[in-house]
This record gives sequence, structure tokens and C-alpha cells, in this order.
Amino acid sequence: MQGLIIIIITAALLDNVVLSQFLGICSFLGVSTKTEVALGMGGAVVFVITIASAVASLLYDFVLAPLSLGYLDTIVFILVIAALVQVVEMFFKKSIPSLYNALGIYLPLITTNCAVLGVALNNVTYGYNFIESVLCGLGTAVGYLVAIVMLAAIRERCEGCEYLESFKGVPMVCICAALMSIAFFGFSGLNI
Amino acid sequence: MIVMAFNFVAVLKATLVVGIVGLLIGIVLGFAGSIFEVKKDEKEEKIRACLPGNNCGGCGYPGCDGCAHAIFLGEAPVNQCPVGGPKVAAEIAKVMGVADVPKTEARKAYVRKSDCVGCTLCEKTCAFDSVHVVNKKATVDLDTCKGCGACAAKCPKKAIDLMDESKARELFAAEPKAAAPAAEPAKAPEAKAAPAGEPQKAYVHKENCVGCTLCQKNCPFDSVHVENRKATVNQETCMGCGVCASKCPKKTIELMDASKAKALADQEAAAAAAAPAVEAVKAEAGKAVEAAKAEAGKAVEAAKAEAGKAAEAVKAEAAKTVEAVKAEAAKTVETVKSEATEAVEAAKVQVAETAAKAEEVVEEAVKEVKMHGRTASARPLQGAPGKKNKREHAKSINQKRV
Repeated sequence: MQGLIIIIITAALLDNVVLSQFLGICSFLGVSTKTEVALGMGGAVVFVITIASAVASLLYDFVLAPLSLGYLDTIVFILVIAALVQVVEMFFKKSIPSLYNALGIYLPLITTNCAVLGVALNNVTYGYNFIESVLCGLGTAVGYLVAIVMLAAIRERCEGCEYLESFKGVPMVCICAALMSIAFFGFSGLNI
Repeated sequence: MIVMAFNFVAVLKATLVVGIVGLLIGIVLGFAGSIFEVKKDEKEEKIRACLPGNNCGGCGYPGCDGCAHAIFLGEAPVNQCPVGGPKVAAEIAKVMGVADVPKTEARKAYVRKSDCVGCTLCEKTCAFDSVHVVNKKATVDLDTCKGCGACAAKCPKKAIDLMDESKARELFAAEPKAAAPAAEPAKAPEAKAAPAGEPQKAYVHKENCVGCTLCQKNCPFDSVHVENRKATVNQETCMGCGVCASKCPKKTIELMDASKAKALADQEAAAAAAAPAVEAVKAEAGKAVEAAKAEAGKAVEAAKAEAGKAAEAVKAEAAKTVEAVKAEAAKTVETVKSEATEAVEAAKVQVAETAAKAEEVVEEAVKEVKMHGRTASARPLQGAPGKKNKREHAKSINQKRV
């Protein structure tokens, strides 16, 4: 039990997917203009990464590993994740229209998000079992949610600030993200 | 020479696995597609095709998809799209099979000049470059206006209305043409239109201002300036558009009648002018207070020292008294003890004497018994109680003494 909690905290804070592993930067910088939008994106990522890591873990444990085809994990995972997001999108559209309206436009963005694939591959590298994989996926996604919402809040705050013309736009966002990354390294001091 | 190590079995296995996974996914997606298919009527798609597809949101629905859906459900009229105008409405009406095309006209924005303060927000907002501010009054170019209503939503004075094109043109034609830069006729209707209210001006309540400069940055007229972390509105140039008030994160900018704002601003300025004098008075008062404090401190110190000495003396005396009392008490205890011992000794001696006497008496009694032994046979029986009585007597004396 304690080990599982440690996996979640490690994935969310210590090895933050965006700020420590530098995965999913594209959507992190792209969809962080407004806090609400960032929340929607983060929610969709939580949903997809958790499911994707579960499916990828099952696939690896029961298909790839027994056939000693571990080296195919990247290709198979990409295939499965892309299809999975499609199915999830269809399911939402049919069954939970309200959730589809809230998250729908972000789901296609996640299909090719490296963070999703990164978590699935990390789970294989760390040798996590099914439950550990799901929790690691959940923790990673929560880390992404926290990071993107924080960056969006900082960007909204920056709007009213004065800084050099040459820093306006993406450069300032990159500086903010870099400072956040440095701040998150403080979590490596957590004693767990 | 390159050696090609080619493991056909492994390649076959990998190809098969990936192929099967792909096939399975294809099948699953196919089934999912049919299971989760949301039936979209052909009509809805046709309606969507008729719409401009700019996703401008002018219709009030989230994008053209939302508008098409609403029209399909009958929630919105066929002329819901303000950008498409009558042409699109007619097409949609054809798709929907509505015989009577509602008489539609393109919607246009129209600025009520009387309320316009010339803040230029509409000009900045317009995506079609159709609104221009000239002489501090905005005018909509009715030929290029798409009627999306973005300017109307932004206008801080709510001076822009969306209306049918013909009405907008009519109103526009009725407007006094501002041929001369400062057209006098233009001012006359303005005064008539807003006779009730004084012009509004912004005023910053300084106590809550945090000096964030958002008001300064957003003021279209450069009328707000932040100095020493406090914003001040220039009452001469403020147009009362309220942009600063809406931007202020502390909600400390208030729109009020110009005279009131002016009075408050003057009061502030007077206070600022008086500030140096106040400061000087404060400084002097501060010094006096400091001096008074210092003196009071000294007095307290002295009082403390004296109190300390007195306390010491009292303590010493008290200690002496305690010592004397202790000594006396000790003496008394000693005498009491010795007296008690003496008394005990005396008692012991007396007891011993009494015991000796008692024994003598007993012996005499024994002798007597022996002498009269023949005459009274029962005599020896009486001797025993006698002896007993004597002993008890001695005991009781002994007890009393002790």
C-alpha cells in the first residue's frame, strides 16, 4: 500500500512528466493560455493516460512479453493508444455528451501526445505490474494537470506585466516553464 | 563482405503480432464506430455546409456546428447566422423545407454617438476592420460590417446595438454629418440625448490601489497614471469609458459623476499639498513622544532599583526573624525533651520502689500464711488473689506513671 502511494507521489511531483522528464511540452506550451482551457486539457490527459497505461500494461504482460517481442513496444503502444483515444472519443460522444463537450476538442490533441506513450514505456522500463502501471499513469497525469494549470495561471498573470518586447510571447512562456521546472526540482528533496 | 544475419522466424513473428494487433484494433474500431454512432441527420450536415464556417460565435452558439444543430432541432430560426445573411438563410430554409423564408435582413452594428466615449475598444475588437473612431466617436462602416456583434459585447458603455441593416442605414443617414472636424450640430443632439446624467468620470480609491498599472495600460486615453504605486485619474482627459474600472483587479476604480470625482480628486490634491506640513508635525510629535518615553523609562528604572533594595532589606529582616524563631523553638524543644526524660526517670524509680514494697508485703503475707497454715485450711486459697491484686495494683500505677 505504501509503495503504491510512493509511486503516485513520485510520478506526480518528483518525476513530473513535463517539468522533469520534458514530455508533452507541445501541449503544455500550446494549450496553457487560459486556466479553464488548461483544466479541460489536464482532465482529458488524466483520463487518457490512466486508461492507456492500463491497456498498454496488459498488452505488454500478456502478448509482447510471452512472445519475447518486448522490442516492439513502441510501435504497438502507439497503435493501441491512437485507437484507444478514438474509441474513447466515440464513447463520450454517444454516452456522455456533456463530458464530450468539455473534453472532446482536446482528445485528438492527446492522440499523439508523447506523454501518453512515455508513461506506457516508462511502466515497462520500471517493470511495474498492472496496478502499479495504472497508478503511475494516474500520478503522471495529475502531475501534468498541476503543471499545465499552474503555467496557465502564470501566463494569465504575465499578461498585465511589463517586460521587453523581445521577450513577449513564447520566450516568456519558456522562461516561466523553466523556472517552474527548477522549482519542481525542490521535490527531489522529499524523503520517501 | 557484409554478413546478413536474418532471422526469418523472428521477423515473421513480429510481423504477425503487429499485424494481428492492427487487425484487431481495426475490427474493434469498426464495431465501436457502428455501436457508438451518433446519428446525425443528413439535414444537419447540409445545414452545416450552408453556414460560412468561420466559427465566429456571432450566432450565440459554440461554432457553426452548434448553430447547425440548433437550427436542425428547430431551436433557432433559419436566419440565425448573422454573418451569412439572407442568402444563407434562404439556402438553409430550402434544406429545412420551410416554405416561408422569414424575411431576413443582414444585421449591422450601429453606434449611438450620444453614448460613445471614443475609447476605441470596438475598433480594436472588430475582426473585419469595420469600426473606426474619428473625433472620439466610433462609426461603423455598414458596407463591411458582418454584424457579428463582437464590438457590441466589448463596448463598456453599451453604446453599440445590432439591428437590421435598413434601420442602421436609416439612423446613419439621419446622423448629422460631421463635415467639420468639431461639428457643432453633432454636439447638440448629444446634449439632448443625455440630459439627465452628468458625464461620468473614473475615480481611484487610493486606499485599495496596489499600483498594478493595469488601468494605466488599458486606458485608451492615457488618462490614468501610476505614481508611487498609486493610480490617479486625470479628470481633465478621462472620458469615463470605464475600461480601467473593469480591468482593476481590486475593483477600486469607481465611475461617478464628474463633479463628485472632481471634488474627491481636489480633496486628494489638497491633502497631498498639506502632506509636508503634516509630516513635519508628525515628526515633531514623534520626537516628543520619544523623549517622553525615554524619561518615563528612566523613572521606571529608578523605581525598580529602589523597590529592589527595599525588597532585599525586608528579605534580610525576615530571614533574621525566622532564624531567631527557629533557635527559640529548638531551645524549647530541648527543655521539653529533658523535662520529659526526667519525668520518665522519676516515674521509673517510683515504679521500682512500689514494686519492691509490694513484694515485701507479699513475702510478709506468705510468712503469715505459713504461720497460720494449720488453723485455716482454706487460707492458701485467699493468698493467691491477694498476690494478684497487689500485682495489678502495681501495674495500674505503672501505667498511670507512664
